[in-house]
Amino acid sequence: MKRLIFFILIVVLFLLGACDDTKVKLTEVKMQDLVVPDNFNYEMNNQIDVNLQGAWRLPVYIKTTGGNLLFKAQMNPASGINTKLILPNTIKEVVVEYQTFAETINVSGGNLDFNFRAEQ
Amino acid sequence: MNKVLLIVTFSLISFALFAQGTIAVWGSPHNQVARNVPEGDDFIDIAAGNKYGVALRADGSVVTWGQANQLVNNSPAGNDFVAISAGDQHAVALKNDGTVVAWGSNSYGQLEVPTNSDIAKVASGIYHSVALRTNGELVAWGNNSNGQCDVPSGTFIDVAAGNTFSLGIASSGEIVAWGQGWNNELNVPSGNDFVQVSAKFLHAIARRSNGSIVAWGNNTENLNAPTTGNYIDLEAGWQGNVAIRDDGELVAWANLWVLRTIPEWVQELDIVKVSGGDAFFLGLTGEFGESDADSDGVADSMDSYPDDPLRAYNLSYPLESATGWGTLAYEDLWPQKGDYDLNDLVLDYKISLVLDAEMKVKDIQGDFMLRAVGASKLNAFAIEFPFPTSNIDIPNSTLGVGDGSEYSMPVIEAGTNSILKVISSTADFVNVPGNGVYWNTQMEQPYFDPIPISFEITLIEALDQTTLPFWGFWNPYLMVDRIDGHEVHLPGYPPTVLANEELFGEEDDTTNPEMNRYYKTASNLPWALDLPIHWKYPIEMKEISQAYYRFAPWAESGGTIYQDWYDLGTGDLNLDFIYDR
Repeated sequence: MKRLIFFILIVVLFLLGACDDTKVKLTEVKMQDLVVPDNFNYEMNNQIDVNLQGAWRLPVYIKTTGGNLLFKAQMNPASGINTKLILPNTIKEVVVEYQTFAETINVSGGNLDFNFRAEQ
Repeated sequence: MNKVLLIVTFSLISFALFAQGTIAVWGSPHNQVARNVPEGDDFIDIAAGNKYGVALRADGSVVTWGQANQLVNNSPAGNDFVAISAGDQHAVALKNDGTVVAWGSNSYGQLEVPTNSDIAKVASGIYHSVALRTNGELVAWGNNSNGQCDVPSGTFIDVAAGNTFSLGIASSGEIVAWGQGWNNELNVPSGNDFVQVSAKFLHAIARRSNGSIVAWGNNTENLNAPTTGNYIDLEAGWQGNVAIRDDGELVAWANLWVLRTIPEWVQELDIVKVSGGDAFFLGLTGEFGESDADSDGVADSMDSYPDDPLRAYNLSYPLESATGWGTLAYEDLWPQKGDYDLNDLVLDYKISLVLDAEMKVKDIQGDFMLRAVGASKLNAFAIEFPFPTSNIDIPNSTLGVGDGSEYSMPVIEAGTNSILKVISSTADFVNVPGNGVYWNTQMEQPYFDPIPISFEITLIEALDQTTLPFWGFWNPYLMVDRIDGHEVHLPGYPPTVLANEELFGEEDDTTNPEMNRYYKTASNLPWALDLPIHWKYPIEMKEISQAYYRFAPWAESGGTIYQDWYDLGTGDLNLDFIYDR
């Protein structure tokens, strides 16, 4: 039994060591050595075009998935809510709360579109 | 009797006194209830039933919605309704001629309404209804298997109906109960000061003239009525109860946990009437009556500027920053490559927009913190805005404030755009350049507190966000050695029309406006960065890629990996090369 446990321990340690070797170890690089794509403009923010539609003149909350409030406004049933949000690129999704609804919407494409009307 | 008539008449009129509003629903409603809440802000009464709702519009029409098709499909037509009530599978409405109509299930005779034309109020129970006549007497119909329709004689000022029981407030102010009370429904509280009663299924609640609430019936959480506060309205539901306190706050107590907490968004509303259904509540806002003080269409409860029709909302950048600040970092040798420490000028920024009800920008407030000047030149900093100088309301703008004192920020016309010179010279705030020591870029040198600089621009005509150029509402740039036209912009951001075009493509720069290529080297390296956080920049003469190891793979991937490269928490960095004070 002891041999078996010892053998398993060795295998586990070996596998752990192998995993560690696969991790990319980053180090400093000289700027002159960088190869950056032509169309990259170093954007760290994402300008989001917001277009939310709803039937009820009630508050709309745009929050992070962690619950932090980004913006709130009152729904205009005639024109909706149309504005722009600038979010860090690290934020891929936001939650839009309206009436009893809470929709998680992907914004990485630069748009926050949702229609809360009944026909949706 | 005159007192009774007066009160009953007031009860009728009070519905008309409610401001017209929008219906809010919360709790755990059936999807058909939540999804199909009727559109509009002209409602004056609401009633919540079992998986359905009923609402009364200001024009006297009734709308029914939800999962109960027998009710939804038979909602009565007409424009002469003044009040409504919702039972389990039937609903009733009072017409302005004092008659009552009912629709939905008739399994217990719920639809066989009396012929009286003097009804002042009606209350629906589970399978029966009770009505209050203008003379104060009562009439009931529907399921009477437990005597719940055997109304007592006398005069009353309010009525309510549960499952096997009914309730009335006698003109003496006492509560009277009849029917069957297996769950203590008939054990009414004593006193002669009751002004409102409500019941649903197995329990009831009532309000005294001093605003306090008492509950009785089935011994569940539904009986945990608030013991403090004064209340102006209440309503019992199947699994929960809700009341409006005299300060406007809603208070709920319930069997069902989801009904025990009033959502924040509901509390922010100006709710003037509530109703309790099956696992959900309805609220009627009064926000489009007297509570939109500036008449801009945004209710005062949602309006950050309730007395200003030109302003409604606040929107700040950067959003979701732990500190609320972003960072602009510049190199100042353009069109020559710099040393890439990105600390020749470092400014924290926070842009706050004030929007009107149509989401147009009315005010722009810029707050900056001058954090580092790792330059031997005396540079300037300016912002291009996408509106003409003629649209700036100069007398009502603050241009500007620097280090706590008035600081003149010139406004310059640039074609159809405006330029605000935020910092005319770093020497206005920093005296170090020229003596061989940089400012807040060398750990071995003294640290200086950041210097606050701010402005506030008010626009004459609000800026439509849908007409903004691709670079948005601001285009910040450094002016090398304070020379007009010697502009260093963020990569991809265009120069202003005042930029010296002769510098484009010189030295290491490859700016080519015809190709929409701006402020990058041949190998696509930048002269400036805009970071969404309060960023810790590199120390003097250390390249950003030496300080932050994730920067290089991030840039080479076109920004698809290591998007948090600037975060000190990543671990992939050299803290010795970062100015961390």
